[in-house]
Amino acid sequence: MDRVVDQLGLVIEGEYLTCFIPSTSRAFVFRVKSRVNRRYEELFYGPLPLSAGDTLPTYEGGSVSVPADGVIPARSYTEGLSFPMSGAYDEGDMWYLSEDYRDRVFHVLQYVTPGFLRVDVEIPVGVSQGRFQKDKIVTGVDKDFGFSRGFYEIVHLPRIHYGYRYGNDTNIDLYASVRFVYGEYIVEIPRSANLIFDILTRRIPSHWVTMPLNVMDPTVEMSLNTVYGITGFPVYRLDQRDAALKEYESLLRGVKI
Amino acid sequence: MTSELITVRGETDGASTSGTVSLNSDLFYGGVSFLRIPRGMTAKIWFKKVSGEGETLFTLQYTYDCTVASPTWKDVEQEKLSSKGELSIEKRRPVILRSLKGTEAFRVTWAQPTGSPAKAYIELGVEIE
Repeated sequence: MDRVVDQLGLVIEGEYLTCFIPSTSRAFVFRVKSRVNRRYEELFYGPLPLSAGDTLPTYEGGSVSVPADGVIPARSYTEGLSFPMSGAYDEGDMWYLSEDYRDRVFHVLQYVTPGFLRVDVEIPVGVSQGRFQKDKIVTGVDKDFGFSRGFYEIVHLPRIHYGYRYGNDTNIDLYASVRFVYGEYIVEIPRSANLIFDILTRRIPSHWVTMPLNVMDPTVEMSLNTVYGITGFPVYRLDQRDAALKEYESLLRGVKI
Repeated sequence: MTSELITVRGETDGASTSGTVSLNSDLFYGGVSFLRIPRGMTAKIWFKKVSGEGETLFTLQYTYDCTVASPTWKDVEQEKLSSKGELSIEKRRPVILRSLKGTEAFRVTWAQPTGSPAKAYIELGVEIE
């Protein structure tokens, strides 16, 4: 197996990161030029950003008050949470960057304690992304499926606020905390249409992260255009090389990084 | 999906000869009389430690539905402390309790000889995965 990630699950410098968007069958291909936090990838954030007195919805249909900072009440789930950090570009959302930081992405592996808490993400915050049978059923931490437990891998792209949701389907008020393993990558989009085609047809190894984007919100589309100049490269079949290269070359003329 | 190993602790009240143990842990904000197992997950009990001032029978009980007014609890395992002392049990094969609907739960009850209430303690190593 080709080794494009290290033992932490982060992309090695010089290798490729592919962010696939299911709703559009497009993908961004990044070459990781450097990882600026090399050797300091772990960030123990601490308790979930919940404050005593916050009100959360419950699985039974009512609401409940958070009993103490960082405690997720029994049978409740959060709305989209961001992680505040003093001094960050956006102090209310530590993973948010503007388009001026378009050469940076955060590759984030999130470990939640306790590990049985439900996790999903809204992109942008307020827009849930879990879907079953097209739009027939909306899924997520507030439903019976459409979430992971205790772990989430994602890439934070600039100019988009993500909202994390957590669900506690036990009968216990739980102290909950988060540990991040992350890479702050300086990236570029390869300028070779051939290379992009080979990566998107999996003939050149790349670390693929399927973004939880089953609904392309107009604000996300606008952000991608503002940041990168494109909304991604369409994924073609192997036998469509000529058509793919033609489109990729056209798209590459508008790419901003 | 990640698992979580939790040390859960409870004790008798020292005044009653029977009752349900209030269970607590470093991750719990407060004690609970039973643990509801997350839907689709499994609770594995890897170790038990029982100690106390006198004869005590601890019983591990399981219910398929903890949401009803009066759940039906069935016994899964028992540990008896025959007199003042300590009993420690490490499981090479854990007790496995499954959640199929998300309403399943387990609890621990105690029973002591009539007229001889005594403080007794129980610790459980519970892995939720």
